[in-house]
Amino acid sequence: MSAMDTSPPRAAPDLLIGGSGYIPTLDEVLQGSHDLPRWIGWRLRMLVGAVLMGFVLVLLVGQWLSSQPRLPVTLRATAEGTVRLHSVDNPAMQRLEGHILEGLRSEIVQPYGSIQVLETPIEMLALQRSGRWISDAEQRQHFVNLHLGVARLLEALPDNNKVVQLQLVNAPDEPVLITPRGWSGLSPLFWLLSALALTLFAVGAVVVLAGPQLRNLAYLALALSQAGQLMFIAVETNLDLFLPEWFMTLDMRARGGLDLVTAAAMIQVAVLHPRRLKGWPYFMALGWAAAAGLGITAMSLDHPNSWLWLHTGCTVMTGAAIMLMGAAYRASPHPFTLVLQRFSIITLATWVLLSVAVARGGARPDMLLNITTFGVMTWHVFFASELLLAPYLSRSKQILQEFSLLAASSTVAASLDLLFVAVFSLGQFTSMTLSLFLSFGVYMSVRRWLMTRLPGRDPITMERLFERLYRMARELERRPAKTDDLLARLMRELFDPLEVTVARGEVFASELRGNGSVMLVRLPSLRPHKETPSKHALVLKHSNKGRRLFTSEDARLADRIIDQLHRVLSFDQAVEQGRSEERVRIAQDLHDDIGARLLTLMYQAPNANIEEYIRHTLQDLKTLTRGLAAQSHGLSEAAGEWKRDLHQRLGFAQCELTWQMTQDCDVTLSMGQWSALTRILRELVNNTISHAKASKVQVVLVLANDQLSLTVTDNGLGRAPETWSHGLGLGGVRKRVKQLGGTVRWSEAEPKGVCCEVVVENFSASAGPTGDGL
Amino acid sequence: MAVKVLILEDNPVARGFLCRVVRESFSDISSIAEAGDLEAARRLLGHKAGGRAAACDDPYQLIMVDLELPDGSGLELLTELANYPATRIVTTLYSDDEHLFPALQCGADGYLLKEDRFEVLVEELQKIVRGQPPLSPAIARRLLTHFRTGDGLMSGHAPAAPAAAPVSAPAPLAPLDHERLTPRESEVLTYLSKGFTIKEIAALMGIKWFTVNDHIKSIYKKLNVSSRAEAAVLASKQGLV
Repeated sequence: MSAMDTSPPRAAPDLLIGGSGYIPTLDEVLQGSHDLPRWIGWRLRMLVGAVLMGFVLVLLVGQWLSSQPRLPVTLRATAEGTVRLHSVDNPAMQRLEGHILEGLRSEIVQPYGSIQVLETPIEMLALQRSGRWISDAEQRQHFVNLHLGVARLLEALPDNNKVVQLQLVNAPDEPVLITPRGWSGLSPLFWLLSALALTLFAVGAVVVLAGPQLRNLAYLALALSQAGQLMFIAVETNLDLFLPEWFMTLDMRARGGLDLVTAAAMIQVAVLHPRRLKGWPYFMALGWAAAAGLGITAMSLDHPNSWLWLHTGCTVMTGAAIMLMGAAYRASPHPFTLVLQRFSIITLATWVLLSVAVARGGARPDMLLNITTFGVMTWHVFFASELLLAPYLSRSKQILQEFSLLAASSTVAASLDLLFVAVFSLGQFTSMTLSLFLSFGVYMSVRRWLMTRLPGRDPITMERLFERLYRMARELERRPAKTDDLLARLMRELFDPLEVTVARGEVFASELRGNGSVMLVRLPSLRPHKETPSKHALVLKHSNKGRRLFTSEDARLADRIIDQLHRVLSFDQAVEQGRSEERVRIAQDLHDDIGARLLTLMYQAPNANIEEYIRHTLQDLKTLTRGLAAQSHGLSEAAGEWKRDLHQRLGFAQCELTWQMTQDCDVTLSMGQWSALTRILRELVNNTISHAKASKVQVVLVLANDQLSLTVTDNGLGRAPETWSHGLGLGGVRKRVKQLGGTVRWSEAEPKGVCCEVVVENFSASAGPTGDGL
Repeated sequence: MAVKVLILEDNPVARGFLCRVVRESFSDISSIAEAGDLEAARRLLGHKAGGRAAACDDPYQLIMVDLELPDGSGLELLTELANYPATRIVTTLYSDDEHLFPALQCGADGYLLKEDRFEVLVEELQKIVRGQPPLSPAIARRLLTHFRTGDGLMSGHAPAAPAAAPVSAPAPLAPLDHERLTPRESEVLTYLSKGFTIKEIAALMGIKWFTVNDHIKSIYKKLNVSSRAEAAVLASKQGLV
């Protein structure tokens, strides 16, 4: 396990690199998580060879089966535990249908003329297709003996005339001819199952050839063992009563062994995929050793409880594998682990259920027979379809996922159909409808549970999403440099991934990588001035805290969100431009028309007071219009203007200005800030000029740690500022300071004069939205 | 020597006010000619629109031009007066640099704000005639940009400066070598842009205030040279010369 995996998931939501930090490239972030196999050369040849070999193998098995003998009647178990003739091939013998069969008898004419009579009983146990799922050792032995009897009887018959007598209850014996099965006698189920086995084998080969790694070998082991099981089942469906002895032994041993291999391979998968668990070689070795030990013990000792041991062992091992998956998920959450674990739990649970049902037996032996026959087959088919699904489960291709799940569901449907017919003796139509209905429900619920959503997820509702988008657009308008951060936050809220990173690299549309565990989202250049030509992308890893895989719908959603954002922003920019143009126009009109009129009025003023009043009005008008028309003001630039303005005013009043200014960083003033500060300064200095008759004015402007303080001190006549009436001037200052969210305080200065102190904590917060305070 | 003055101002009240300012500023006024629009001013100066005002035997020594006039912008007249030997002063209500910078480039020697008090105007006018042109921080900043990049003209025509339109779009020229600022001049401009007064700059640089003044005058002259060169280019392009 690499160091990257052990690092705890970062919890802070704003972990993103701002504009300044190093931005890794896409390749660095993805770190070769996509190693696409190349289907060239030896890989392709080997795959074709393996598939052909499998095909030939199936054909050989079919060939062997076609030469096996076949009884021309179909036997079924009855509820009383007897064997009944269900149907007969020959229409002439239709009257026999429904009769109870007791045994087979053959009369062989010896060369000496004597007649040798061979009899073998047919019990319900003989209808079992395999000894693998007979839990009781005695029963198993009995099953073997029954089949041995049939085999002996068959052996004694001459090859050209294999006629046996069916011993029927309450009816005379009936001779039937036993013939080889032939190709046409192979049931469709054989072809279906062997096709499934072949597919499984091919997929296993594809996976291993694509990446010859330990975890893929484990997958191959799983695939091969299930393919083997399916082949055995396929063969057994066509043997009926005539199981050769060697086949029975092979069947019991091999199928038990394959189950153990499956369990061990599950452990191997659990510790290797998708990330290696700490100490994986030990777990792996332990798993295989346990499987080998169990297999040898159960088979060599032939203990009465060996069946129980085998099943308990398999259950424990698979349970351990599931727990290891849980540990792997806790160590490094990966959505695939979770999906794998869920599949394993379902599979193991059904298997345990099957085992318990078989071991406990039941009141109805015929039901037991059906369970061991059809139930086990269903389970294997289910497991096989799961295995087929696994490599494609997390692929970004949604259609393939759906298809695989649909395929799995339809096998379930087919098996259910069989089960209903067999167990509940339902009519064909009823059972088909019911099973289709059920499997569709299973499909829908399993799909939701496994693939997309998990309970407890809190998806952002559409309403909230729109609200976020709107707010984000507002924020982006003010700080376009934060696009990446804000988008990352939105994506985090939307998909709740474990990790969000900004990476360099070009992504044209959002896409999925690493089998859906990683999603790349294209980051747009939303800034109006395109100063950064390098394209960035957002890398989201492990959706929903690693419990979910990204789907192509997620990618489409992300794309749509970014498109919407584009639209909102360009709309906003157009609105802002319109506002700005309109402001400039209003400012010009005001200035040109009202300004000229005020000027004329001023020249014709009857006395100096009115003239001065109009002059102030005119100056205010100019301040206002200039503020409206200007685009932005830097603090240092504005301070330069203020200083010059005050200097000029105070100069004519024979008053000396001391100006001090310090700032730790230059900020851009919003229109509101600029106009408020301009008016505050002008008003304070006007007061000093017109009332205080001061000879010195000191202005100190300090911006440090986002706190702005402005102190205006004079040495004039003013005293006891707390007793001042709140005239127009002071009220205006208070109003402006309040707009900035600051405080203003007047105090007496020593030795004479008044000091006014304006403090705005958190100066950047007073900026407000553009256009405020006009 | 008697001073001949021309005042171009459309508002008769303002014109009367400016006459009073001029009379107060100079004791030796010989005559004050008044014009209400560009056409009248051109008649008085004896040239046609778009042409060049040439110095006659008895030229005006002081010409005050309003920017916004009924039949055009005062900048047009300033351009036409490029070679006229007079102190040209812009009298305006616009104190923003979007208006004043083009005026300076068109050869204005100074500007007066019409809303200022009578005494203030008198004092400022005397200063300009004596060769102490005012320079606001904003204009100082623009001058710095102009001399550093050579394309100050382009930024001089921000959308908010429609009054500058008549002289707009002269070809952007990189300043010639003799138009570059000396380090001292740059320093003065930098201080000016930060709002320091001439006296403060003198103290900061350890020189006399009139030396600072000389630097400013020199800057003006360089600006003027460049603007004249541009005007010449523009004129030849339009086939006027």
